[in-house]
Amino acid sequence: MKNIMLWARRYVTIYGIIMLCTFFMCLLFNPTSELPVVSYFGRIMVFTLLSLLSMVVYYSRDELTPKGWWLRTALHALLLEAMLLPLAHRWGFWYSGTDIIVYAAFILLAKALWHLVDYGISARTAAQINERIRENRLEKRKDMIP
Amino acid sequence: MRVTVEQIDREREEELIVRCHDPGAAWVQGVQEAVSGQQTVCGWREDEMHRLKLSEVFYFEVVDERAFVYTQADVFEAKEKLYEFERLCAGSALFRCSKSMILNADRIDYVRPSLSGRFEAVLSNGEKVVVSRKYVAELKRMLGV
Repeated sequence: MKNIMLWARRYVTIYGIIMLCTFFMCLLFNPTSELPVVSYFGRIMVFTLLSLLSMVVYYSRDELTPKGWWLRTALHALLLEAMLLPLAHRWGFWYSGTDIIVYAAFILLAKALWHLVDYGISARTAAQINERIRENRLEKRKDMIP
Repeated sequence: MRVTVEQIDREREEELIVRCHDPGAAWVQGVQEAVSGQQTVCGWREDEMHRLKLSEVFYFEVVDERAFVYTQADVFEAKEKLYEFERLCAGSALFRCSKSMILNADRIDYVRPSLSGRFEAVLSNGEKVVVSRKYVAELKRMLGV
């Protein structure tokens, strides 16, 4: 159940990031465009699902070293580009040579945003833990004073 | 509260039974921690066997199927498997922090996040170890976060 919740939360986060990136991309390059809502949301859902499935590159039997993590992060970025760019082209999200560069940059930006959100959550958890450690230490010190 | 101490023969195993209204009460946990802190694990160094109190242990680590016990400044080899350590440490301040390590929460100075989504725990002897996100929930539970 815990795992389902974790992956559901990831799905929603990635979906939100892709939506945000698409919104800004449309705003910058094609502000007058009209999108068929149902198929558009459906396509974003497929993008999200593929992005989530591609995270399998991080799977490891042993604990990943920092170097191993960076290597897999680079591999994951390449995999995302390789999967999402042809699909996006097929669905008419980009047409020309300039478009593909911008679209590829947005995929990388979305990935960076994902890691940033993740880091933010970790930083909040770390702050909570450190606060508790500090409180415990103070309590122990108080107990030691006769 | 009534406290009864009964002296027994050396042949009999020592045990502590706590009769309480609330097993989750702070004083009951305190007793559990005190008892587990007295538990020992065998560590080997240069063919010498050392008895180490769990409270002295900073962390257990398994590297290439070999188990090691780390204390403030020493490293000992151990014969137990990680799951055996885990069983031994139940109810103590030691918890599984990654796929290959069991860490003493009482020895953590502070934790900091890393970009990889994991945490780096800085111990009171200055050592740094990794706490996986998967196991950080256990640390939070132990600390009461």
